[in-house]
Amino acid sequence: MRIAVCLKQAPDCSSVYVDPISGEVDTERFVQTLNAADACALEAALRLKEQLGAGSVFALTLGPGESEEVLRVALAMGADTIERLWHPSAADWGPLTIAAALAARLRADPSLPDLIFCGEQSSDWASGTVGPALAAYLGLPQITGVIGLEAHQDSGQLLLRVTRRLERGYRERLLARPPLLLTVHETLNEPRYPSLPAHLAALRATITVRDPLSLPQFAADFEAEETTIVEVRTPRPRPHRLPIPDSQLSPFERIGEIITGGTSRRQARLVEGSPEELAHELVRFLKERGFV
Amino acid sequence: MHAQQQFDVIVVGAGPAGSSAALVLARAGLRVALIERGEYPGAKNVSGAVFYAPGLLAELLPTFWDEAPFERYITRRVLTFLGKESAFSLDFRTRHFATPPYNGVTILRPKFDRWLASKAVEAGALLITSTVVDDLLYEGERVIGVQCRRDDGALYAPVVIAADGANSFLAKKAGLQREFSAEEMSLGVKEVLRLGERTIEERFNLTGDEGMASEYVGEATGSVKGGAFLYTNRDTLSLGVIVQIASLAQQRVRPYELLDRFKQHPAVAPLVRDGVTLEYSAHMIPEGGWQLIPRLVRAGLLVAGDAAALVFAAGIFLEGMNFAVASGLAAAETALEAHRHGDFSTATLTGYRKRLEQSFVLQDLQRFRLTPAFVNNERLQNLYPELLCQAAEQVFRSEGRPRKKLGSTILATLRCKVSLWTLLRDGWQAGRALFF
Amino acid sequence: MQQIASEPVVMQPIEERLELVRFKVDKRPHIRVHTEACRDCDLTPCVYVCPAGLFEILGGEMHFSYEHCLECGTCYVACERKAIEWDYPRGGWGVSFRAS
Repeated sequence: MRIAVCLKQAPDCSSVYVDPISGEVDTERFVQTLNAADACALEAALRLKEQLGAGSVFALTLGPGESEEVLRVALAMGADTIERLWHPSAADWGPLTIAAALAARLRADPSLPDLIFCGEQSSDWASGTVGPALAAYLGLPQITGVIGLEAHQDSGQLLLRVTRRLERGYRERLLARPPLLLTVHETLNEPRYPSLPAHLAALRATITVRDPLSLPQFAADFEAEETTIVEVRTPRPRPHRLPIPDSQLSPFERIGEIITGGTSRRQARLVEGSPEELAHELVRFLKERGFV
Repeated sequence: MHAQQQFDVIVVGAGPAGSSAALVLARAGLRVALIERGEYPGAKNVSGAVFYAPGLLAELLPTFWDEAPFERYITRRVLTFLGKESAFSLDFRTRHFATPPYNGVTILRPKFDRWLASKAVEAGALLITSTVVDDLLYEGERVIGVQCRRDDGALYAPVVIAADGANSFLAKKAGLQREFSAEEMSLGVKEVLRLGERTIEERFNLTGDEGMASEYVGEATGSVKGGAFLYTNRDTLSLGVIVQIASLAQQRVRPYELLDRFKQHPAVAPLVRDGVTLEYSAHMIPEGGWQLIPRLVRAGLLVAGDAAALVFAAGIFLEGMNFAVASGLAAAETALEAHRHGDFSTATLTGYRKRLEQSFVLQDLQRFRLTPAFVNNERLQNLYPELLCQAAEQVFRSEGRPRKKLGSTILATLRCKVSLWTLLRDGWQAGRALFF
Repeated sequence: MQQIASEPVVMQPIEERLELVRFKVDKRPHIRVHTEACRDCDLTPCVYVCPAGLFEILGGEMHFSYEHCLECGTCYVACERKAIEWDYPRGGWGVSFRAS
């Protein structure tokens, strides 16, 4: 079983400070670490390898020299091989180009890995794009937002029982077989704390760096397809919508309705009659309220 | 034992003491492990922070002045006695502190410590971050390594330099240091405020890279024993209060409330106006002086920096990092000597203490050993600053009435609060502590 | 002497200050308190000296948290009953100063 894990160095969430007034993010205060979801992806890969008792874990990142930190963490945790992809122009790449570069690197090996793990999203832009795009470039099925993972041997073949996180608290249970790409949520597991010998070996390791532009299957012309970021804003709580007070009411009652948050009784009227009469009444009502 | 877990020297703590030691040892070609519990050097470290006598490092690192991430060099020293509504300052400035080797520079520890450790790494030391050292390993009476809080966490070296900071856990475990009392330890709490380069230069009368170190006594900490500081960085201010822990507990005041009061004192508020707080931090300071210095050596172990309580807190002096660096360098030289002779016994390593005795480190601490007690004098802390301000107020007061000569004005102010005899006695003690 | 009315000091809640600090919180606490010893402690120095305000007496019982510890060690030095067991958090966890 060959497993590849894609890692990213990202600001640790606890180090992100957003000015409450300007909404600006102070990048100087960032502490760059292995992205939390990616650490879980790596941990999941390592646990799977250990459970199967065979296989290898290949940790890959695309980033500048500082991001070798994350590969050292990966090595200390138990990755068998590590590699960094970098080209100065990559600093401007969007998620689709990054995914293409990762895909080109994985295709450069004689065969694709059996499983690919990615973090669901990074703590900085959180677009959640790289994993799915990578699966698309490699033509692999994918499961995103993994929050539960169990491996079983099913008549000599590996069967994965996967729990996926959906929106609004829904969960989806899936059965899957490799080859497959999984993007992992940061609650999947608790990444291990490496032993001292592993930590030391990782600190001393030399790391292979490859230029993605030199990869045969990579063309760095994906910029056109990238998402354009128009604006970044801090989320604000949605304002509570107040019903417009009934204009028939006295000013006193209207103010009362506004300051009670529109909790005064609704003014409903039941109209009875023939369809023509009802339509007339409806038009009259809409006109009266200024809708038509 | 794996070969990769064997070193020539293990340095615990990548602060100024540890990184300086590691730098010297690695340069001499030894295999050095520099262990740091933070994610990066400086992550856990807090100082005011003025690094006095930075020339100590510049001698080791020729590129120091171009490369070291220091904020401003200190050309202006201010000592202020704060009364409730008034302030009396001694303000000194000189261009003589404005050229390398500067007398003191302000630094930000996370940046500076990281940089210094990177120099040790460049020299060949192995920086092991995110790793706590829990204990020492012994063979008989001799320290032969450290136990880290990780699986298979043993590391071995014939000599260990414990530069593990103010809590000094390793020296305590080795039986060199006793448990601290709340009277001899201080707590510093600090804020860094962003003001902008222009504002700082205008507000503090500075040009270019000049900086100011300003210290406060008296009302700065209310009735709690201690003082306050305000230092200029490039575009931020470092300010904080340093208080004796016992006094804080006794007065039942929270340290951050003191910080609020200090920032809002009428003499301080205009200086910090519109400052945006970037960070709040706190650290314990071994301010006990001479009495608090542990035994510095045992077979296979040297203690340096804050861990050895080498902090010079003597009233107008508040120095720690230069003492840390000097002790780290002395420890490194001693470890080198021990390696040359292949002898790591207490007798050989005692050379470390001798080196410190010959340098300013132990000489200053011994010479000013009476100062900590003097500085914590109740009257000096609370009464005299207020009286000084009142006396000044009487002197400068102009009310359209006949004045007395200044001597009687001042004496009248002083004598309603303190007897002449007490005044003389305190004056004598001040002399003993600082002057002769 | 004329007394000038001084402005009341505005106290900033400690939580606001701690919000500026980066904590990587370990699940394992690095502070333990033998709270039985706190029941008849009148002075409760820890409550006052802790620069992060981590100790509190609520309903006669000691309550504390370790998550926002600035790792200074003041609490165990101040505690006369030696009821606080204090150690560093695991390497790489706990507080990280960035701008100090």
